[in-house]
Amino acid sequence: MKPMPNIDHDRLVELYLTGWWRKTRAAIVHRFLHCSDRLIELIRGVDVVDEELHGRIDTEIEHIIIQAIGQPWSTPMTARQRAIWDAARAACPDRRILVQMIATDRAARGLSTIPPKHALGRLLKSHLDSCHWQVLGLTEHRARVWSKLRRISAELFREYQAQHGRDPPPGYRCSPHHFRDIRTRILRDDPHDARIAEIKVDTIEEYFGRLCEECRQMVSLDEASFDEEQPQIDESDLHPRLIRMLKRCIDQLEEPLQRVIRIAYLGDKALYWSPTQDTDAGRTEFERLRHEALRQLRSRLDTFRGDTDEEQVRNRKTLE
Amino acid sequence: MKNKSGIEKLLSDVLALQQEDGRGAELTEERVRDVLLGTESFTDAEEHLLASSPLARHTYAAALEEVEIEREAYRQRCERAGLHTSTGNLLAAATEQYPFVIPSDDFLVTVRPHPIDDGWVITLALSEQFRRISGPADVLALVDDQNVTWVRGQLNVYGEIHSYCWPYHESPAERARRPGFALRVLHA
Repeated sequence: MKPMPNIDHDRLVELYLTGWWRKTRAAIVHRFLHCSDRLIELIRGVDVVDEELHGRIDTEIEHIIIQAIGQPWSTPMTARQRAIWDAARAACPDRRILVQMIATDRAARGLSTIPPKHALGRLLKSHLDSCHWQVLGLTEHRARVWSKLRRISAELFREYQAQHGRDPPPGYRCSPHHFRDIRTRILRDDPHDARIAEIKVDTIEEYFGRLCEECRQMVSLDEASFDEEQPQIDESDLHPRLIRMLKRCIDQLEEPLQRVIRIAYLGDKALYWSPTQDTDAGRTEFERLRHEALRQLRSRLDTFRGDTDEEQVRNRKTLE
Repeated sequence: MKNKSGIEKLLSDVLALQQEDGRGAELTEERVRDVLLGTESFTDAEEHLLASSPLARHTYAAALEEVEIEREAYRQRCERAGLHTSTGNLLAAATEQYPFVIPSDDFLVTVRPHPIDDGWVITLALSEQFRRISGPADVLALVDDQNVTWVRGQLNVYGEIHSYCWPYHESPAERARRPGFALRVLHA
Protein backbone atom coordinates (compact mmCIF):
# COMPACT_ATOMS: atom_id res chain seq x y z
CA MET A 1 0.00 0.00 0.00
CA LYS A 2 1.25 3.48 -0.80
CA PRO A 3 2.10 5.45 2.36
CA MET A 4 -0.67 7.85 3.28
CA PRO A 5 -0.10 11.31 4.71
CA ASN A 6 -0.55 11.48 8.49
CA ILE A 7 -3.74 13.27 9.44
CA ASP A 8 -4.84 13.51 13.06
CA HIS A 9 -7.83 11.47 14.17
CA ASP A 10 -10.34 14.29 14.64
CA ARG A 11 -9.55 15.72 11.24
CA LEU A 12 -9.93 12.28 9.66
CA VAL A 13 -13.33 11.79 11.30
CA GLU A 14 -14.38 15.23 10.08
CA LEU A 15 -13.29 14.32 6.54
CA TYR A 16 -15.31 11.10 6.68
CA LEU A 17 -18.33 13.18 7.67
CA THR A 18 -17.85 15.82 4.97
CA GLY A 19 -15.63 15.45 1.90
CA TRP A 20 -15.40 11.66 2.18
CA TRP A 21 -19.00 11.22 3.30
CA ARG A 22 -19.77 8.93 0.35
CA LYS A 23 -17.27 6.38 1.68
CA THR A 24 -18.76 6.47 5.14
CA ARG A 25 -22.26 6.13 3.76
CA ALA A 26 -21.21 3.23 1.51
CA ALA A 27 -19.61 1.41 4.46
CA ILE A 28 -22.68 1.91 6.69
CA VAL A 29 -25.09 0.77 3.97
CA HIS A 30 -22.98 -2.27 3.18
CA ARG A 31 -22.60 -3.32 6.81
CA PHE A 32 -26.28 -2.72 7.55
CA LEU A 33 -27.43 -4.79 4.57
CA HIS A 34 -24.98 -7.52 5.46
CA CYS A 35 -26.82 -7.99 8.77
CA SER A 36 -30.32 -7.47 7.40
CA ASP A 37 -31.40 -10.99 6.36
CA ARG A 38 -33.64 -11.47 9.41
CA LEU A 39 -35.21 -8.06 8.95
CA ILE A 40 -35.93 -8.79 5.29
CA GLU A 41 -37.57 -12.10 6.24
CA LEU A 42 -39.58 -10.36 8.96
CA ILE A 43 -41.17 -7.88 6.56
CA ARG A 44 -41.26 -9.93 3.36
CA GLY A 45 -44.72 -9.86 1.77
CA VAL A 46 -46.34 -7.88 4.62
CA ASP A 47 -49.09 -5.68 3.25
CA VAL A 48 -49.87 -3.59 6.32
CA VAL A 49 -47.41 -3.09 9.16
CA ASP A 50 -49.43 -3.31 12.40
CA GLU A 51 -48.31 -2.09 15.80
CA GLU A 52 -46.92 -5.43 16.88
CA LEU A 53 -44.83 -5.82 13.75
CA HIS A 54 -43.78 -2.20 14.08
CA GLY A 55 -42.22 -3.08 17.44
CA ARG A 56 -40.47 -6.18 16.10
CA ILE A 57 -39.00 -4.23 13.18
CA ASP A 58 -37.78 -1.60 15.62
CA THR A 59 -36.08 -4.26 17.76
CA GLU A 60 -34.51 -5.93 14.73
CA ILE A 61 -33.14 -2.63 13.44
CA GLU A 62 -31.70 -1.95 16.87
CA HIS A 63 -29.86 -5.31 16.69
CA ILE A 64 -28.58 -4.51 13.21
CA ILE A 65 -27.32 -1.08 14.26
CA ILE A 66 -25.46 -2.59 17.22
CA GLN A 67 -23.91 -5.26 15.02
CA ALA A 68 -23.17 -3.10 11.99
CA ILE A 69 -22.16 0.17 13.61
CA GLY A 70 -21.95 -0.14 17.39
CA GLN A 71 -19.28 -2.81 17.65
CA PRO A 72 -15.68 -2.21 16.53
CA TRP A 73 -15.27 -3.19 12.91
CA SER A 74 -12.06 -5.11 13.48
CA THR A 75 -9.25 -5.52 15.97
CA PRO A 76 -6.80 -3.92 15.68
CA MET A 77 -7.85 -1.02 13.48
CA THR A 78 -5.76 1.25 11.29
CA ALA A 79 -6.08 5.01 11.75
CA ARG A 80 -8.49 5.28 8.82
CA GLN A 81 -10.54 2.28 9.91
CA ARG A 82 -10.98 3.82 13.35
CA ALA A 83 -11.85 7.20 11.84
CA ILE A 84 -14.46 5.83 9.42
CA TRP A 85 -15.95 3.76 12.24
CA ASP A 86 -16.17 6.83 14.50
CA ALA A 87 -17.74 8.79 11.63
CA ALA A 88 -20.26 5.98 11.07
CA ARG A 89 -21.21 6.06 14.75
CA ALA A 90 -21.67 9.83 14.55
CA ALA A 91 -23.91 9.40 11.49
CA CYS A 92 -25.82 6.45 12.96
CA PRO A 93 -29.29 6.04 11.39
CA ASP A 94 -32.37 6.88 13.45
CA ARG A 95 -34.20 3.59 13.84
CA ARG A 96 -37.63 5.19 14.46
CA ILE A 97 -37.44 6.95 11.10
CA LEU A 98 -36.21 3.80 9.40
CA VAL A 99 -39.17 1.83 10.78
CA GLN A 100 -41.51 4.48 9.38
CA MET A 101 -39.82 4.35 6.02
CA ILE A 102 -40.07 0.55 5.88
CA ALA A 103 -43.72 0.69 6.96
CA THR A 104 -44.57 2.88 3.96
CA ASP A 105 -42.28 1.21 1.47
CA ARG A 106 -43.70 -1.64 -0.57
CA ALA A 107 -40.46 -2.48 -2.32
CA ALA A 108 -38.52 -3.06 0.90
CA ARG A 109 -41.29 -5.46 1.96
CA GLY A 110 -40.88 -7.49 -1.21
CA LEU A 111 -44.10 -6.26 -2.79
CA SER A 112 -42.57 -5.02 -6.03
CA THR A 113 -40.16 -6.29 -8.65
CA ILE A 114 -37.21 -4.63 -6.87
CA PRO A 115 -35.09 -6.96 -4.70
CA PRO A 116 -36.00 -6.04 -1.09
CA LYS A 117 -32.36 -5.69 -0.05
CA HIS A 118 -31.76 -3.24 -2.86
CA ALA A 119 -34.81 -1.25 -1.78
CA LEU A 120 -33.73 -1.29 1.85
CA GLY A 121 -30.29 -0.04 0.82
CA ARG A 122 -31.86 2.81 -1.10
CA LEU A 123 -34.05 3.80 1.87
CA LEU A 124 -31.08 3.75 4.20
CA LYS A 125 -28.96 5.79 1.80
CA SER A 126 -31.69 8.39 1.49
CA HIS A 127 -32.18 8.50 5.27
CA LEU A 128 -28.44 8.87 5.92
CA ASP A 129 -28.19 11.70 3.42
CA SER A 130 -31.14 13.39 5.04
CA CYS A 131 -29.46 13.22 8.49
CA HIS A 132 -26.24 14.43 6.93
CA TRP A 133 -27.98 17.47 5.43
CA GLN A 134 -29.77 18.26 8.67
CA VAL A 135 -26.44 18.41 10.46
CA LEU A 136 -24.69 20.53 7.85
CA GLY A 137 -27.68 22.64 6.84
CA LEU A 138 -28.18 24.55 3.60
CA THR A 139 -25.15 26.81 3.67
CA GLU A 140 -24.68 29.71 1.30
CA HIS A 141 -22.13 27.64 -0.60
CA ARG A 142 -24.64 24.82 -1.06
CA ALA A 143 -27.33 27.25 -2.18
CA ARG A 144 -24.98 28.58 -4.86
CA VAL A 145 -23.99 25.11 -5.98
CA TRP A 146 -27.66 24.16 -6.22
CA SER A 147 -28.42 27.23 -8.30
CA LYS A 148 -25.68 26.26 -10.77
CA LEU A 149 -26.83 22.64 -10.93
CA ARG A 150 -30.38 23.78 -11.65
CA ARG A 151 -29.14 26.04 -14.45
CA ILE A 152 -27.26 23.15 -16.07
CA SER A 153 -30.21 20.82 -15.61
CA ALA A 154 -32.56 23.33 -17.25
CA GLU A 155 -30.11 23.70 -20.12
CA LEU A 156 -30.11 19.93 -20.67
CA PHE A 157 -33.90 19.90 -20.69
CA ARG A 158 -34.04 22.73 -23.23
CA GLU A 159 -31.56 20.94 -25.49
CA TYR A 160 -33.56 17.73 -25.29
CA GLN A 161 -36.78 19.55 -26.16
CA ALA A 162 -35.12 21.31 -29.09
CA GLN A 163 -33.75 18.02 -30.40
CA HIS A 164 -36.77 15.75 -29.83
CA GLY A 165 -39.70 18.16 -29.77
CA ARG A 166 -40.84 16.88 -26.35
CA ASP A 167 -39.75 16.66 -22.74
CA PRO A 168 -37.36 13.92 -21.62
CA PRO A 169 -39.10 10.77 -20.34
CA PRO A 170 -40.70 10.97 -16.88
CA GLY A 171 -38.19 10.26 -14.15
CA TYR A 172 -35.20 11.51 -16.16
CA ARG A 173 -34.64 14.45 -13.80
CA CYS A 174 -34.21 12.06 -10.87
CA SER A 175 -32.18 9.47 -12.74
CA PRO A 176 -28.47 8.64 -12.63
CA HIS A 177 -28.41 9.43 -16.39
CA HIS A 178 -29.36 13.03 -15.65
CA PHE A 179 -26.77 13.30 -12.87
CA ARG A 180 -24.08 11.92 -15.19
CA ASP A 181 -25.17 14.28 -17.97
CA ILE A 182 -24.82 17.20 -15.54
CA ARG A 183 -21.35 16.04 -14.48
CA THR A 184 -20.31 15.68 -18.13
CA ARG A 185 -21.62 19.16 -18.86
CA ILE A 186 -19.68 20.63 -15.92
CA LEU A 187 -16.46 19.03 -17.15
CA ARG A 188 -17.17 20.17 -20.70
CA ASP A 189 -18.13 23.78 -19.99
CA ASP A 190 -17.08 24.70 -16.45
CA PRO A 191 -13.99 22.60 -15.64
CA HIS A 192 -12.43 25.52 -13.76
CA ASP A 193 -15.48 26.62 -11.77
CA ALA A 194 -14.29 26.24 -8.18
CA ARG A 195 -17.80 25.67 -6.88
CA ILE A 196 -18.86 22.79 -9.06
CA ALA A 197 -15.83 21.45 -10.95
CA GLU A 198 -15.05 18.90 -8.26
CA ILE A 199 -18.50 17.64 -7.34
CA LYS A 200 -19.06 14.07 -8.40
CA VAL A 201 -22.17 12.23 -9.61
CA ASP A 202 -23.03 10.98 -6.11
CA THR A 203 -22.96 14.49 -4.70
CA ILE A 204 -25.10 15.81 -7.55
CA GLU A 205 -27.58 13.08 -6.72
CA GLU A 206 -27.51 14.14 -3.08
CA TYR A 207 -28.37 17.73 -4.05
CA PHE A 208 -31.27 16.63 -6.22
CA GLY A 209 -32.48 14.16 -3.60
CA ARG A 210 -32.62 16.91 -0.99
CA LEU A 211 -33.59 20.00 -2.96
CA CYS A 212 -35.42 18.99 -6.14
CA GLU A 213 -39.13 18.71 -5.45
CA GLU A 214 -39.66 16.17 -8.23
CA CYS A 215 -36.87 13.88 -6.94
CA ARG A 216 -38.09 14.13 -3.36
CA GLN A 217 -41.60 13.20 -4.43
CA MET A 218 -40.21 10.32 -6.45
CA VAL A 219 -38.64 8.79 -3.35
CA SER A 220 -41.58 9.40 -1.04
CA LEU A 221 -44.28 8.34 -3.50
CA ASP A 222 -42.87 5.27 -5.02
CA GLU A 223 -40.36 4.73 -2.28
CA ALA A 224 -37.43 2.56 -3.17
CA SER A 225 -39.07 1.25 -6.33
CA PHE A 226 -37.11 3.92 -8.15
CA ASP A 227 -34.44 1.49 -9.16
CA GLU A 228 -31.10 3.09 -8.79
CA GLU A 229 -28.45 2.29 -11.32
CA GLN A 230 -25.12 1.99 -9.56
CA PRO A 231 -21.82 2.31 -11.39
CA GLN A 232 -20.96 -1.25 -12.21
CA ILE A 233 -17.64 -2.99 -12.33
CA ASP A 234 -16.92 -6.45 -13.47
CA GLU A 235 -15.12 -8.20 -10.65
CA SER A 236 -13.49 -10.69 -12.97
CA ASP A 237 -11.95 -7.89 -15.07
CA LEU A 238 -10.84 -6.07 -11.96
CA HIS A 239 -9.10 -9.05 -10.42
CA PRO A 240 -7.84 -11.40 -13.11
CA ARG A 241 -5.89 -13.29 -10.46
CA LEU A 242 -9.00 -13.74 -8.40
CA ILE A 243 -10.56 -16.26 -10.75
CA ARG A 244 -7.40 -18.38 -10.56
CA MET A 245 -7.43 -18.15 -6.76
CA LEU A 246 -11.10 -19.06 -6.68
CA LYS A 247 -10.48 -22.17 -8.80
CA ARG A 248 -7.80 -23.27 -6.35
CA CYS A 249 -10.19 -22.68 -3.46
CA ILE A 250 -12.84 -24.84 -5.16
CA ASP A 251 -10.31 -27.67 -5.45
CA GLN A 252 -9.70 -27.42 -1.71
CA LEU A 253 -13.40 -27.75 -0.78
CA GLU A 254 -14.45 -31.03 0.74
CA GLU A 255 -17.21 -33.21 -0.72
CA PRO A 256 -20.10 -32.78 -1.20
CA LEU A 257 -19.50 -29.01 -1.17
CA GLN A 258 -17.16 -29.15 -4.15
CA ARG A 259 -19.66 -31.18 -6.15
CA VAL A 260 -22.49 -28.78 -5.28
CA ILE A 261 -20.47 -25.81 -6.53
CA ARG A 262 -19.60 -27.63 -9.75
CA ILE A 263 -23.26 -28.46 -10.34
CA ALA A 264 -24.62 -25.02 -9.36
CA TYR A 265 -22.08 -22.85 -11.17
CA LEU A 266 -19.80 -24.78 -13.46
CA GLY A 267 -22.34 -26.64 -15.54
CA ASP A 268 -21.41 -30.14 -14.35
CA LYS A 269 -24.98 -31.34 -14.74
CA ALA A 270 -23.84 -34.93 -15.05
CA LEU A 271 -22.62 -34.88 -11.46
CA TYR A 272 -24.82 -36.73 -9.05
CA TRP A 273 -24.81 -35.50 -5.50
CA SER A 274 -27.54 -37.24 -3.56
CA PRO A 275 -30.17 -39.96 -3.99
CA THR A 276 -32.74 -37.41 -2.77
CA GLN A 277 -31.66 -34.69 -5.18
CA ASP A 278 -34.99 -34.54 -7.03
CA THR A 279 -37.14 -34.20 -3.91
CA ASP A 280 -38.09 -30.96 -2.10
CA ALA A 281 -35.96 -31.95 0.85
CA GLY A 282 -33.05 -32.67 -1.50
CA ARG A 283 -33.36 -29.26 -3.12
CA THR A 284 -33.45 -27.54 0.28
CA GLU A 285 -30.36 -29.46 1.34
CA PHE A 286 -28.66 -28.53 -1.93
CA GLU A 287 -29.27 -24.82 -1.23
CA ARG A 288 -27.98 -25.21 2.32
CA LEU A 289 -24.79 -26.84 1.01
CA ARG A 290 -24.40 -24.19 -1.67
CA HIS A 291 -24.53 -21.44 0.94
CA GLU A 292 -22.06 -23.27 3.13
CA ALA A 293 -19.71 -23.71 0.16
CA LEU A 294 -19.97 -20.01 -0.68
CA ARG A 295 -19.21 -19.13 2.95
CA GLN A 296 -16.13 -21.36 2.94
CA LEU A 297 -14.95 -20.03 -0.41
CA ARG A 298 -15.29 -16.48 0.86
CA SER A 299 -13.20 -17.14 3.95
CA ARG A 300 -10.57 -19.03 1.92
CA LEU A 301 -10.36 -16.19 -0.60
CA ASP A 302 -9.90 -13.66 2.21
CA THR A 303 -6.80 -15.50 3.43
CA PHE A 304 -5.08 -15.26 0.04
CA ARG A 305 -3.37 -12.02 1.11
CA GLY A 306 -0.53 -11.23 -1.28
CA ASP A 307 -0.51 -14.85 -2.28
CA THR A 308 0.97 -14.52 -5.74
CA ASP A 309 1.94 -17.53 -7.82
CA GLU A 310 5.61 -17.11 -6.93
CA GLU A 311 4.77 -16.96 -3.22
CA GLN A 312 2.63 -20.08 -3.56
CA VAL A 313 5.58 -21.97 -5.01
CA ARG A 314 7.85 -20.66 -2.24
CA ASN A 315 5.32 -21.60 0.44
CA ARG A 316 4.94 -25.08 -0.96
CA LYS A 317 8.71 -25.58 -1.00
CA THR A 318 8.94 -24.43 2.62
CA LEU A 319 6.28 -26.92 3.63
CA GLU A 320 8.03 -29.74 1.78
CA MET B 1 -22.62 -5.49 -18.19
CA LYS B 2 -21.64 -8.61 -20.11
CA ASN B 3 -23.28 -11.98 -19.47
CA LYS B 4 -21.35 -13.70 -16.75
CA SER B 5 -19.87 -17.16 -17.09
CA GLY B 6 -20.45 -19.70 -14.30
CA ILE B 7 -17.15 -18.96 -12.59
CA GLU B 8 -17.76 -15.20 -12.79
CA LYS B 9 -21.22 -15.65 -11.28
CA LEU B 10 -19.66 -17.73 -8.53
CA LEU B 11 -17.08 -15.02 -7.89
CA SER B 12 -19.86 -12.41 -7.64
CA ASP B 13 -21.81 -14.56 -5.18
CA VAL B 14 -18.71 -15.15 -3.05
CA LEU B 15 -17.77 -11.45 -3.04
CA ALA B 16 -21.35 -10.52 -2.14
CA LEU B 17 -20.86 -12.33 1.17
CA GLN B 18 -17.96 -10.12 2.19
CA GLN B 19 -18.34 -7.87 5.19
CA GLU B 20 -16.81 -4.39 5.20
CA ASP B 21 -14.60 -3.65 8.17
CA GLY B 22 -13.47 -0.21 7.03
CA ARG B 23 -10.15 -1.39 5.55
CA GLY B 24 -11.45 -0.36 2.14
CA ALA B 25 -11.08 3.27 3.27
CA GLU B 26 -7.33 2.88 2.77
CA LEU B 27 -7.77 2.93 -0.99
CA THR B 28 -8.30 6.45 -2.29
CA GLU B 29 -9.98 7.54 -5.50
CA GLU B 30 -6.78 9.37 -6.46
CA ARG B 31 -4.82 6.09 -6.36
CA VAL B 32 -7.43 4.26 -8.40
CA ARG B 33 -7.48 7.12 -10.85
CA ASP B 34 -3.70 6.98 -11.32
CA VAL B 35 -3.99 3.27 -12.07
CA LEU B 36 -6.89 3.74 -14.47
CA LEU B 37 -4.95 6.44 -16.31
CA GLY B 38 -1.98 4.11 -16.63
CA THR B 39 0.50 6.17 -14.62
CA GLU B 40 0.65 3.72 -11.69
CA SER B 41 -0.24 0.13 -10.96
CA PHE B 42 -1.81 -1.45 -7.90
CA THR B 43 0.45 -2.89 -5.24
CA ASP B 44 -0.25 -6.46 -4.07
CA ALA B 45 -1.82 -5.08 -0.90
CA GLU B 46 -4.15 -2.85 -2.93
CA GLU B 47 -5.13 -5.74 -5.18
CA HIS B 48 -5.93 -7.78 -2.14
CA LEU B 49 -7.97 -4.91 -0.75
CA LEU B 50 -9.95 -4.74 -3.98
CA ALA B 51 -10.54 -8.47 -3.78
CA SER B 52 -11.65 -8.43 -0.17
CA SER B 53 -13.32 -5.08 0.51
CA PRO B 54 -16.70 -3.96 -0.89
CA LEU B 55 -15.83 -0.38 0.07
CA ALA B 56 -12.60 -0.51 -1.95
CA ARG B 57 -14.59 -1.79 -4.94
CA HIS B 58 -17.11 1.00 -4.41
CA THR B 59 -14.22 3.49 -4.57
CA TYR B 60 -12.94 1.79 -7.73
CA ALA B 61 -16.37 1.97 -9.37
CA ALA B 62 -16.73 5.67 -8.50
CA ALA B 63 -13.28 6.49 -9.90
CA LEU B 64 -13.98 4.47 -13.05
CA GLU B 65 -17.27 6.29 -13.58
CA GLU B 66 -15.56 9.66 -13.16
CA VAL B 67 -12.81 8.77 -15.66
CA GLU B 68 -15.44 7.66 -18.18
CA ILE B 69 -17.35 10.92 -17.74
CA GLU B 70 -14.13 12.89 -18.25
CA ARG B 71 -13.53 11.01 -21.52
CA GLU B 72 -17.03 11.81 -22.71
CA ALA B 73 -16.73 15.48 -21.71
CA TYR B 74 -13.44 15.74 -23.61
CA ARG B 75 -14.97 14.07 -26.67
CA GLN B 76 -17.83 16.58 -26.55
CA ARG B 77 -15.41 19.50 -26.17
CA CYS B 78 -13.53 18.36 -29.29
CA GLU B 79 -16.75 17.87 -31.20
CA ARG B 80 -18.03 21.32 -30.25
CA ALA B 81 -14.75 22.92 -31.29
CA GLY B 82 -14.99 21.14 -34.65
CA LEU B 83 -11.70 19.34 -34.11
CA HIS B 84 -10.74 16.32 -36.14
CA THR B 85 -9.36 13.88 -33.61
CA SER B 86 -8.76 11.14 -36.15
CA THR B 87 -6.68 10.90 -39.31
CA GLY B 88 -9.33 8.83 -41.07
CA ASN B 89 -7.96 5.97 -43.13
CA LEU B 90 -4.56 6.93 -44.45
CA LEU B 91 -3.28 5.93 -47.83
CA ALA B 92 -0.13 3.86 -47.81
CA ALA B 93 2.37 6.66 -48.19
CA ALA B 94 4.93 6.00 -45.52
CA THR B 95 8.38 5.14 -46.78
CA GLU B 96 11.25 3.69 -44.78
CA GLN B 97 12.82 7.14 -44.68
CA TYR B 98 12.83 8.70 -41.24
CA PRO B 99 11.73 10.89 -39.72
CA PHE B 100 8.35 10.50 -41.29
CA VAL B 101 5.36 12.58 -40.51
CA ILE B 102 1.72 11.58 -40.39
CA PRO B 103 -0.26 14.77 -40.84
CA SER B 104 -3.82 15.45 -39.84
CA ASP B 105 -6.05 18.52 -39.62
CA ASP B 106 -5.52 19.14 -35.94
CA PHE B 107 -2.49 17.13 -34.93
CA LEU B 108 0.78 15.86 -36.25
CA VAL B 109 2.58 12.59 -35.54
CA THR B 110 6.31 12.37 -36.13
CA VAL B 111 8.26 9.11 -35.96
CA ARG B 112 12.04 9.09 -35.82
CA PRO B 113 14.64 6.52 -34.80
CA HIS B 114 15.84 6.79 -31.25
CA PRO B 115 19.21 8.58 -31.29
CA ILE B 116 20.89 6.03 -29.01
CA ASP B 117 18.81 2.84 -28.80
CA ASP B 118 17.31 0.67 -31.50
CA GLY B 119 13.83 1.95 -30.72
CA TRP B 120 11.68 4.79 -31.98
CA VAL B 121 10.62 8.17 -30.75
CA ILE B 122 7.01 9.03 -31.51
CA THR B 123 5.84 12.58 -31.04
CA LEU B 124 2.26 13.74 -30.96
CA ALA B 125 1.91 17.50 -31.48
CA LEU B 126 -1.47 19.21 -31.22
CA SER B 127 -2.67 22.21 -33.19
CA GLU B 128 -3.11 25.50 -31.36
CA GLN B 129 -6.88 25.07 -31.13
CA PHE B 130 -6.55 21.48 -29.92
CA ARG B 131 -4.10 22.62 -27.23
CA ARG B 132 -6.52 25.26 -26.03
CA ILE B 133 -9.19 22.74 -25.11
CA SER B 134 -6.74 20.33 -23.46
CA GLY B 135 -5.75 21.08 -19.89
CA PRO B 136 -2.34 20.23 -18.45
CA ALA B 137 -3.97 17.54 -16.31
CA ASP B 138 -5.62 15.78 -19.26
CA VAL B 139 -4.01 12.46 -20.09
CA LEU B 140 -4.22 11.91 -23.85
CA ALA B 141 -3.55 8.84 -25.93
CA LEU B 142 -2.79 8.31 -29.59
CA VAL B 143 -4.20 4.97 -30.70
CA ASP B 144 -4.21 3.24 -34.08
CA ASP B 145 -6.96 1.40 -35.92
CA GLN B 146 -6.13 -1.76 -33.95
CA ASN B 147 -6.74 0.16 -30.68
CA VAL B 148 -3.05 -0.14 -29.85
CA THR B 149 -1.63 2.85 -28.00
CA TRP B 150 1.31 4.62 -29.64
CA VAL B 151 1.60 7.56 -27.27
CA ARG B 152 0.12 8.26 -23.87
CA GLY B 153 0.70 11.09 -21.42
CA GLN B 154 0.19 14.74 -20.56
CA LEU B 155 1.06 17.61 -22.88
CA ASN B 156 4.33 19.44 -22.30
CA VAL B 157 4.53 23.23 -22.63
CA TYR B 158 4.95 22.90 -26.40
CA GLY B 159 1.70 20.95 -26.72
CA GLU B 160 3.56 17.69 -27.40
CA ILE B 161 3.73 14.22 -25.95
CA HIS B 162 6.71 11.96 -26.67
CA SER B 163 6.79 8.21 -26.44
CA TYR B 164 9.79 5.91 -26.47
CA CYS B 165 7.86 2.64 -26.34
CA TRP B 166 7.03 1.25 -29.74
CA PRO B 167 4.33 -1.40 -29.34
CA TYR B 168 4.95 -3.55 -32.47
CA HIS B 169 7.64 -5.88 -33.83
CA GLU B 170 7.34 -4.37 -37.29
CA SER B 171 8.69 -0.87 -37.99
CA PRO B 172 6.41 2.21 -37.79
CA ALA B 173 6.58 2.58 -41.58
CA GLU B 174 5.49 -1.04 -42.12
CA ARG B 175 2.63 -0.54 -39.69
CA ALA B 176 1.58 2.70 -41.40
CA ARG B 177 1.42 0.92 -44.80
CA ARG B 178 -1.14 -1.62 -43.61
CA PRO B 179 -4.62 -1.31 -45.16
CA GLY B 180 -7.07 0.62 -42.98
CA PHE B 181 -4.30 2.28 -40.96
CA ALA B 182 -5.55 5.28 -38.99
CA LEU B 183 -4.68 7.17 -35.84
CA ARG B 184 -6.87 9.02 -33.39
CA VAL B 185 -6.37 11.11 -30.29
CA LEU B 186 -8.54 10.43 -27.28
CA HIS B 187 -8.76 11.25 -23.61
CA ALA B 188 -7.11 8.38 -21.78
